[in-house]
Amino acid sequence: MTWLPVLPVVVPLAMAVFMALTTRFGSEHRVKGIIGGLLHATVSTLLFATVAHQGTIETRLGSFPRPFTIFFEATPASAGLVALMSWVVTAALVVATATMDRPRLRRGFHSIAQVVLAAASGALLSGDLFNLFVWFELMLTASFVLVTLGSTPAQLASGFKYLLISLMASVFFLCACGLAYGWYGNLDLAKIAELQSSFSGPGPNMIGGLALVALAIKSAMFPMYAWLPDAYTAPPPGIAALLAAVSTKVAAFALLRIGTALFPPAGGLWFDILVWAGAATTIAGALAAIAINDVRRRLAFLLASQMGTVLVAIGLQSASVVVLLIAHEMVAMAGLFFAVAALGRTGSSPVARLAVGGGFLVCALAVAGIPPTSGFVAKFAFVQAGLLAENPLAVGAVLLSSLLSLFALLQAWQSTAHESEKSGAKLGWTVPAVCAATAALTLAGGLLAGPAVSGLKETVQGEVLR
Amino acid sequence: MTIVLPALVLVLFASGLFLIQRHTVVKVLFGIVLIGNAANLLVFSSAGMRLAAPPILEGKDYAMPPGASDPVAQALVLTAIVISFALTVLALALARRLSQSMGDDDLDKIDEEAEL
Amino acid sequence: MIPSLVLRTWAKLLVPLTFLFSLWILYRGHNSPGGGFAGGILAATGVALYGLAYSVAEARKLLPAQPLALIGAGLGFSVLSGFVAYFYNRTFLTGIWNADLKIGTPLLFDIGVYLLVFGVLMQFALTFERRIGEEGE
Repeated sequence: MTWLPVLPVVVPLAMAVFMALTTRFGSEHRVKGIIGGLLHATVSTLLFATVAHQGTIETRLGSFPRPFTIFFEATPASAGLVALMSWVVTAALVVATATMDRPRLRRGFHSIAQVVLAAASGALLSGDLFNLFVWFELMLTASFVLVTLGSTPAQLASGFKYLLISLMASVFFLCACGLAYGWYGNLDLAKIAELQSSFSGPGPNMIGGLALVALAIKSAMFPMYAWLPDAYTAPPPGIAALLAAVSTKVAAFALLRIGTALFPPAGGLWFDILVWAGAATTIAGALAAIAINDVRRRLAFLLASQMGTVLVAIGLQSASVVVLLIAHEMVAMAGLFFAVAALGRTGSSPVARLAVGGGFLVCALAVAGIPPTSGFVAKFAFVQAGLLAENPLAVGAVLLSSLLSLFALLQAWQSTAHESEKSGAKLGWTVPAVCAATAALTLAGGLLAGPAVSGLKETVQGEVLR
Repeated sequence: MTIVLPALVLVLFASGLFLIQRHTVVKVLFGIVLIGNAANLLVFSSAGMRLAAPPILEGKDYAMPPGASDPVAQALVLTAIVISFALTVLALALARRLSQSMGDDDLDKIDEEAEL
Repeated sequence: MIPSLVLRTWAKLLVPLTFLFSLWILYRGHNSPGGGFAGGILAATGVALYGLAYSVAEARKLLPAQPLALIGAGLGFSVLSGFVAYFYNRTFLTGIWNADLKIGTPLLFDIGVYLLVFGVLMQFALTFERRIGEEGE
């Protein structure tokens, strides 16, 4: 029972060990990688099912008492995100395996991807601040390797930039952790949130500010998102899809949890900053996306723009909307990256072309928030929350950026349709199938969301914030 | 003791910030290392400094010796050191590949070349 | 550049010494300061010194296995030590001790850390010590 929250971390780690020990010259680990993804998906879905039934599960590693232990906590929200992420990542692994060149696979793409999966699950599930920091850093370290895998000059340059910026952010994060321990004498997020109200003075504000800057950089907030487009354009699209599903999303969820614990409560300065910087991010990202011709760069800016919406929702302190938005963006953005990975390779089969083009279109509509998709549900919940918080300006900014994104994506769709006609490189059935499945998931999210959302609202609002 | 550590953190941070703004890849990395160490020291000092005893459980009843310093902060800083060590190794390897493939270790020139 | 005779002679002497010392640090970590991390680093410094004095290829011959295999084995040991607790109905990574021998799973974990750190550092040092023109670039 208490083993379940640990398994999403341990299973991929064990898989990575297995791959490292069975590596021979030229091993590509295609099958092992995808089996690893499926195993993780099974375990995390099981965890989600259990948590959804029985409520939050806590695990203290090594059975040590509370302040001395590594502490995992599976809430319905975090377990749900882990489960969704693991399916999306598995899909990304399939796409990457099918579209990536052999040298990159031989350099250990799959084992590193397993480490990313383990670390991202750890970051989502961890219950204390420092544990979160450690898993987050591990995830970033592995994603630097993925960004630079293959060592083309563009990858190295963008990877180095990404690394330096992230290292600075990590320093801020670490300082926030240390000072939080010094100030509150505790690292447990739930405990800090309780203690928060009894403290006043500059301490909580400073710690909150440090954490905000750190996680804002990592989740690509407006003035600090310069690293993102290069890091998502330089590596091959399979890797970009994997990173799009994982790294910024985990950062956003971490910001939600840390923000609710560390920022001084109700109407605080840091929440206001999040709202306005998030609104700026979402508009700036969408505008940049329109101005840029390269499809993958455009997607990278749209990813930043989408993160802006999440940041606004975090600033509005509506946890359920944040979780909804993160879940929807994870699937929709990954779907777009999958379609781009298949771009120009669809070859002859009309069914494959339909699947890829249709997948792109559906996910594009989802990103813009058009009705029958998951995006509509998420945006609708967002607008509701925004109006409830009496912040029509932020809501307007997000809606405007949705419109701009729709324009950017439809334009991209048109140009991709041309491109896939003129190029003839072959592609198997797997990638189109994954594109179609992702699009179907997005549609299902939109069509079946009604009851699920109301259920989620009740559980999440209590459980994320505890 | 209480004044030495913050002063050291300040100096390390300042020197790191200075180095980070240089052009050479290696200098930037040294800056990052210095800043990382400043952060580690900050975490280390966050639980307060005591010279009394190491926080090791001893004796029959495994009790903490009186006046022992806080073991959590030390565990945190140990973890942080390992992480920054791993990241430094990765950054060094990356910097080496970068300057090898560009034939240059000036970051501005590398950026220009990567754009092309 | 040819490494000096002094360095070569000392390297030969120091490799076994640092290795033994690292094992002692690993063992000592059981109850006192020390442990797998410090031990692994020490062991790696010995081999790294040997690599500087002779060549990367020579140093590689000292390793019991490929660095990647060492990393995998180390991580494997650590993960495995956590799973032992399952059979005693405890949570992941709970230390299971044999009271008579005073040996438990934390030692296994520490050995894993030792191998992991040793492997990572070897991979790192042997890559960086390669001189220009040496094999494997």
